[in-house]
Amino acid sequence: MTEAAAPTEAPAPSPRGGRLGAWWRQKREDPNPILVKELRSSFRTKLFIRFLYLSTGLLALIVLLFGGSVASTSMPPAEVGQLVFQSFFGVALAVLCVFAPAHAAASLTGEREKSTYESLILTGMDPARIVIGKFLATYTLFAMVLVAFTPVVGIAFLFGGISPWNVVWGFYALLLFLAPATAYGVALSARLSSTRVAIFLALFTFAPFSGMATGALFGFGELATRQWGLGMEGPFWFTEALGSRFFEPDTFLLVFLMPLFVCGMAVWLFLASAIAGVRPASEDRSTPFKYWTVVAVAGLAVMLFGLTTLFEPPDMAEGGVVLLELAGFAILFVATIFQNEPPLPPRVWELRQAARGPLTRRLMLFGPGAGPTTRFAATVIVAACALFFLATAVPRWVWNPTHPENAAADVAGLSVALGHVAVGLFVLCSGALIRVLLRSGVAARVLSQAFLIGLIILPFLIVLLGEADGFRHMDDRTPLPIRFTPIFHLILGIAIVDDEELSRVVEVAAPVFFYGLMAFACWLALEGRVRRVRKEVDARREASERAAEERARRMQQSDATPEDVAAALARVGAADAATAAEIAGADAGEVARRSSAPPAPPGPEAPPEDP
Amino acid sequence: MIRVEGISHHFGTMRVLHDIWFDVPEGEVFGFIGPNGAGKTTTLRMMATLLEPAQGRILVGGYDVVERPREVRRILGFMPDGFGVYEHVTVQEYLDFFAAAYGILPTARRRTVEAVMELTDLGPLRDRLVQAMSKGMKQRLAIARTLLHDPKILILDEPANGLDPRARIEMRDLIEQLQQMGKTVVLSSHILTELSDMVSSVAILEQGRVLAAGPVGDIGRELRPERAVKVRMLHYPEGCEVPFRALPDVVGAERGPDGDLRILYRGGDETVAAIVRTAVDAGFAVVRVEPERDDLEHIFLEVTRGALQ
Repeated sequence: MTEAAAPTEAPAPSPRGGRLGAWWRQKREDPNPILVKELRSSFRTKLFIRFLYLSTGLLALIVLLFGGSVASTSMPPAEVGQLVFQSFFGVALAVLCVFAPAHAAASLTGEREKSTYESLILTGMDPARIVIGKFLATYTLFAMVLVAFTPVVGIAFLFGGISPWNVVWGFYALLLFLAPATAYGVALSARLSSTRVAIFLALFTFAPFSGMATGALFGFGELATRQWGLGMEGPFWFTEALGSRFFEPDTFLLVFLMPLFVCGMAVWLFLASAIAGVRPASEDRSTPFKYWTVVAVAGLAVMLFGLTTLFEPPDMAEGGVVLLELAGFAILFVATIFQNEPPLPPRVWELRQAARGPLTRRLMLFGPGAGPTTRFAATVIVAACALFFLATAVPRWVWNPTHPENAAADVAGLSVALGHVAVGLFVLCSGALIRVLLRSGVAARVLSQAFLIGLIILPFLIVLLGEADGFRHMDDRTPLPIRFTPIFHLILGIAIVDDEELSRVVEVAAPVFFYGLMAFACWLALEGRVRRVRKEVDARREASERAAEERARRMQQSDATPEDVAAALARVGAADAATAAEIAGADAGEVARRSSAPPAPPGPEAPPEDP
Repeated sequence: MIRVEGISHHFGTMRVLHDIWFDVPEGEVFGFIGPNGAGKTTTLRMMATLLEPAQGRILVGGYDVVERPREVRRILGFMPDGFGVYEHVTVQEYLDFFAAAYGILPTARRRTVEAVMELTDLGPLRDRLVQAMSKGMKQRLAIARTLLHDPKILILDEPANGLDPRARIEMRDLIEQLQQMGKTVVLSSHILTELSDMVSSVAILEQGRVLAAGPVGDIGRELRPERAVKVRMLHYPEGCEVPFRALPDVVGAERGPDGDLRILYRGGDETVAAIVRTAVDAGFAVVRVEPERDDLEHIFLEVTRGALQ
């Protein structure tokens, strides 16, 4: 068993294949144990095999019935083939959207309910490895379900109208969509303690979302069919677009790259959330989100740049401003995910950082804890707004420099970007302040969301109550209360670029100043509060350490034998030997008994745990 | 090996631990006893890094459980009460999974699993599915799992809970074997007979407070400075107590409820020898002389107040 204590070490990279080859060999020889165990368990239960048979049979039955009923009409065979193809992928997508998140949602809650979770955590296995193992296990199982479905799609080929490329891209899309569906389930599983609740939430949140996504695909299909002259209709139109015009910039960006980016970032976010859920509260939970944010912001900027270039020159100015306004959701998202940090960084993390070099210690400026995380998020918000503005403006400056709307678009873009910065910082700082004041993450999140929604809606209600037709002149004469909503800069941006009224840019000063000032005040209050909490915690820790030292000292003193004490007392002439032995005997008794009434530590009582 | 320094804890507004202090010496089998709801499991979970104390600190092998949980987990094996197992894998697969989870390299994993199976007598069951095992065997499997990374300290929460007498004896033998291997074992139980033969030191917990802690003998002596010896005779002549009362260290002698002569004394074995000599000199027909032991049940009853939380 001595070898058991050997630490985990990556095998030394061999010359063959370099680091990547070594990594692959290590993964092949020593795969994720969770993945192996889950697959092994699944294949030994009858449930999975039954599910495989049942779902494949049901799918074949639906496709056959649907194909048969359509074929009996006067519809051309090619269209029947396309409809059968669409129905196959539609049902397969529905199976994935319902069962994959539900299965994944039971993965970690099941461990908790069966009391195996703690044993797993105590092995010291990295939470990321646990989460990725669970994710890969569910993903692999449902990918196998998809493989089992494959023969059924052959029915579509009986009628024609589709190519093998349609099938290849269809399966690619299902496999791509399966990843966020599974990751979402794992994230729920990591955050909840009941399997039933997790499955219920997974079913009733992801399935409707998938329905809406499919509806949106229908809508885009209408546009794409007209724009690109595609022959296939329905939600899986993109299989034809990818098959026939993959290398066209618009198809490559809109139909291949963007879904890949969105699904990839969604998987990353869900898995980061799951890892944070598995990690104990005493460890750093926010850093994985920070990495995600940096990559997401950079990727979104690239996407905005690409999308702006796709506009025709006359639409580029207005299109860029609209895209910049839509990017505001990303800014709000960044502000929201980082406004819920506890006041201080985890103690374990602080100790680890203190043991590192001075350069690494500087990263503590952006490390976990409310203060540093707010600094990080504020930096990201400012940088993101600048990047997004440039991403939507540069294409215009480069490919359409002489367009008359350019000046208005630049001014509008600047107003929108400034508005995004002010509102984003305000949402971040006010939310973080509420969090450190309330000490409860959930309550703080609910309160800050309600506060934001109130700020958006309330001015409109005031205007509506005060003046019935107050919204009529929204573009040119915006009522005063609405100028202070967090969305006024969006209204203003569109108005400037539409009417080319550059002078209206001054109107953005009021909300930017207002929200900027509020954000600054909240930030100052936040930093003050964090400093106070730090002082309290340090004082408590010192008091506790003093009490421990005092107690240890007393225990050490009491360990003296009666003879030692008697001799000592006799030496100084304080008492005769008999009395001294009696005193010493009483001390020794105290040691043995160690009764439950030691002196209370001098420090204040610890506050209830921060959930 | 383990030092608990003034820990307190509360769940919501309910305070479950009050300023707990005790030490677990290296290489000992340490019993953690107390009635249900006394706070045993909460304390053990803190020692195992699964729960943070609201106040105070715990050092395991010199590492603070809050500040160095990874280091603590490396030297500690914990078997919780009511543990779960993966049902659809075999014994060997189960242990192999945990060995991989502990980060043991594939080359060493097989040997480690074999060694642990041999130690816990699970070798003949290697290909059996866990779901087909008895409760006692699952308990054994859980201990085997905690041994995979060769920890110095084992914390077993109610290890004999729900086991039949045979499985309990096997469990006791296994714990003794682990102690002989130099491991420090901390056991919790509310069944005192279960622990009495195994432990050398104890901490007695009631209503979240440590009432006594230390070696069993020390606590017994501290609780009852007067010890007793029972003398059984063929006949008990009138006034047979008198010669014993005259002995210098004897504080009392009277007939007990079972009819035996119960003599209370201070001091050590020399007083017992004097008692025997006196009985023989007086011509009493002595059948048996039996010193009363400081067993855990007596200690527990005297220390605890009996009120459950």
